[in-house]
Amino acid sequence: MVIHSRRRFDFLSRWSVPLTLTLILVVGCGPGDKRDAASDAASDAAAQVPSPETTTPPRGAEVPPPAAEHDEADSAQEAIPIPAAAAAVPPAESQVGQADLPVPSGPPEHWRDWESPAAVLVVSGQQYGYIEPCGCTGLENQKGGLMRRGTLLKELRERGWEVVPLDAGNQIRRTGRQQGIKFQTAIKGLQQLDYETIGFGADDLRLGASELLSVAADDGENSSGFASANVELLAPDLIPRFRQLNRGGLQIGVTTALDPTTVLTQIDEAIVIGDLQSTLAETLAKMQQGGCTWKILLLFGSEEAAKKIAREVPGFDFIIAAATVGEPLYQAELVPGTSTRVIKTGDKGMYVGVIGLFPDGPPRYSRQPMDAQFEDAPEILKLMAEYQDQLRVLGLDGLQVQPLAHPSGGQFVGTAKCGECHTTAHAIWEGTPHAEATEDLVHPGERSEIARHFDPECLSCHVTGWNPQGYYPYTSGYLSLELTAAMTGNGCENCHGPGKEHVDAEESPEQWTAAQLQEIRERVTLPLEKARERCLECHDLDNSPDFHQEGAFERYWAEVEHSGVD
Amino acid sequence: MKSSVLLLLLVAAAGGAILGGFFSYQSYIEPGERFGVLELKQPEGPARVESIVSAYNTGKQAQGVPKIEVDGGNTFNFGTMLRNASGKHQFVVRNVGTADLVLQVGGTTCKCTVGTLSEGKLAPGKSTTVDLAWDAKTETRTFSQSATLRTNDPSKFELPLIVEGDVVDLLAAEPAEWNLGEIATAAPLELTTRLYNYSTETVTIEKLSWTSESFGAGSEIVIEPLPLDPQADPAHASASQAFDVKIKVAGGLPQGVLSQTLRARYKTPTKDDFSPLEMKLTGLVVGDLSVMGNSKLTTDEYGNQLLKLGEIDRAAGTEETFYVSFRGPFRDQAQITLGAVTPSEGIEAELGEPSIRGAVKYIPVIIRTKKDAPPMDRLGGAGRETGMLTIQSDRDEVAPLQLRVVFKLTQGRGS
Repeated sequence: MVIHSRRRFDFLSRWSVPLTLTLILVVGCGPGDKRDAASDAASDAAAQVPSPETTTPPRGAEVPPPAAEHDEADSAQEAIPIPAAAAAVPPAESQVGQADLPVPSGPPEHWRDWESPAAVLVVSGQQYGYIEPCGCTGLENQKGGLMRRGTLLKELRERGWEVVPLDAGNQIRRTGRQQGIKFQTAIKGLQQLDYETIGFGADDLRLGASELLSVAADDGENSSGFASANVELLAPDLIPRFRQLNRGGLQIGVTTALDPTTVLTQIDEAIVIGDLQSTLAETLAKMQQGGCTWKILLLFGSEEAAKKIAREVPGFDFIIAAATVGEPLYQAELVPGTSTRVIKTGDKGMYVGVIGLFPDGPPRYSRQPMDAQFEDAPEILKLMAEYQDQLRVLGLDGLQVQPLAHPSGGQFVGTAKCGECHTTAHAIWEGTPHAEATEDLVHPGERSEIARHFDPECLSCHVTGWNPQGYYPYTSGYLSLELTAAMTGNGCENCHGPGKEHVDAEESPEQWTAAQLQEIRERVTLPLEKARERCLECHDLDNSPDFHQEGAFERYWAEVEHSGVD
Repeated sequence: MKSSVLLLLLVAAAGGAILGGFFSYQSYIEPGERFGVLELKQPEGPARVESIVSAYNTGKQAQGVPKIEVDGGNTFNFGTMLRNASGKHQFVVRNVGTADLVLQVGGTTCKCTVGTLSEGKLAPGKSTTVDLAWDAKTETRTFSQSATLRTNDPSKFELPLIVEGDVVDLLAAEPAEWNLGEIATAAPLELTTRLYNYSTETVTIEKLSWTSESFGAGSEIVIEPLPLDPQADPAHASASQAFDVKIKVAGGLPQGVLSQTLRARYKTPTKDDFSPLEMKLTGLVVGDLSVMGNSKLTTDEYGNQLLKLGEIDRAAGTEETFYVSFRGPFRDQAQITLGAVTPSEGIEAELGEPSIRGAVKYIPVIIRTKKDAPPMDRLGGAGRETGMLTIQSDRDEVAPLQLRVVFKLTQGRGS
């Protein structure tokens, strides 16, 4: 007890490895007796509304001390045992000229090292359409995917832990019928994985209230898992403001919110996005009244927005910022002047955050990349197969994917036609993966049990005559294996442009002057300096990261190099 | 004696801390975690996690302490740049501590490349540079990418270097999409957008039209130059030219999914082969009356709506609430009433009080099975009937809504 009284409790300092923690306790850092107003309120509320299942000490014992005594530089230094020389450095000095630096502390830790957490929150968001990584460059090279997340959750549950999966939203990134189906599939997957709370992302809202409500409405006993403090679909009471979960003896309040500034398109008038600050303040108060001892906000907003909320609406223990990109930090970042920690999800579901809540100690955080160490969860793999089958049944017409005229007005003829004259170039092409691009969808090398040749998002770069970034066919481009067999493979015209005008001219040269013939030829000539741009339309960073390394274009070009008529 | 025990405890604890840190870090690092997607250049070959942990722990034991600082902060905002363009920034990293600072490149997002650290270890007072290069290949306006440095600075085990800013197309539309949700078939559409030119050249809009000629025939498009005022509109301060676009689409669109593309063809004095700028219009055209707000409601691609109640124990019964939405020009004048509910011996319904949300009036509907209902099959399909609920108005112009109710009342246990 003497040890505890020597130094105040430091929230951040306890986020370290067990053995390091041992030393911290020896040198005298332990739970203190100071609490901030929010935690007082929380613990008071908990005291007023006791949960019969709560067996742990009041939450107030676990929350940080007053912010004024809890600056991040100080806590950072306490996070690990440090030499005397380091301790002599005034804490404020570490902030000189670096006011924008987050100050994580100490090495990371891994949830696999934890023992007996009362509950484990698994936080994610901003899947952004990547229900699975594309896999074009090998799944072992890409992170993400709901299938892997399913396996992570299984591993956590097999430890006997109370697992609470939470998702901040943004399952999709575009609009249209396919995105509606993908949204439904993603939510079905989350529900199969027993997600406890799900939020809305800005791109989700593009689907409109009716489509969202078809999966998000809470119908009495049929809980959808959705909650939002500030997004209303049609009527105010169709989506709960927050969810209160009793897990591992802890009362955990979870809400979600959407920063209105993230909505950049015109959306359905039946969707109302309320003011962030006031709705969150109301929701937080209700959580506290309900006796929630842990208050979690899943925010579809930037890190900056999350920090602003932490300052303006004090009292959340964690804010998960999902409108973020890049790699999340190893540590949860303490917002200066508050007791709130911000965790960013990054994008495309490549990472999840694992937060351990312990009955006799402060929380811990572990960042988990969704890499190939996690096998595909069979139930989600089955869901993906059903998704692809839905696309097959609907077809391009049912998906409202209609051919549009090519900007040039030209028509496609297919690679074989080009090869009639450009024999050498055609032979080279046949020896490249471009020739097998469609076959690779029909019989994929990975997750081979699921064919992808009905999926417009895959077809756009695996056939001839599509807009690769618009995900639609051009008139006379590929429609199906049966209807447009000549348009299989990623053929000549995807780079050179539709060839019918050129073919017609060469087959009836008498109808043209030499100058006209030359002009038409030039229209389908692609100078090397422009070729790179065309390549990048499919070899983009998501699907072909190798292509973006220095010198990559030159190496790849050497494999497909061709020029002239023959 | 007491001092010996204390010393022993401290030594054991310090050793434990070092080993604990080492092993936990080793176990933390996942396959493929070291470098993100891209392989990064390192002055001494691929980074080894063990070496930075070792340096980290050595740093803790050494006299003095390394301390990292980035000149100007760890975030670089490039302002606005054109989509697909490339950028580069050099961060200057300084050791302001009193012991050697060890640096390693950690993970990076796949849109950054990190150049070679000119030195892997920095003596106190020395600085080095880290180059971040990026391609602004993103579909979104905001761009933010990062690379992470790992250090043996005890207060900053990892330090993100962040590049952020706005990415724009040479000609950008705001908004570039209209996602209207449900649209009443009778209601005309009014759409607006603005086109911004972010090049230094003058853009000429050659043509602005819908890709569907039939849809375009019922549409009127007006485009006018829009004066720019950087003070009043700082978000577009870097634009050199703007256009205001107003579009009217006549009512009477066919019911079903609406998906149309508006193309802007444009040129500058030096280039006339830009890919057209495309803007998408999506929605679901429905009658003035439609239903939503219950997960048992489904809509087929033709806009027909079903309420799937499934199999129900007749003794237990069921009750569901959903909403009728009323849009279109008669929203405020017409009275909505409940029409026939069939089979009347099996189900009943009632309307609640209407409310207004934007352009939508919505009215709650409660439908339930009757307590004394006999067993019945209204699952539909294969020539079987479904139940039907009709919602109507007192205006002839508003077509009544007929909602098929799919259910089966079973005898159930104990019935």
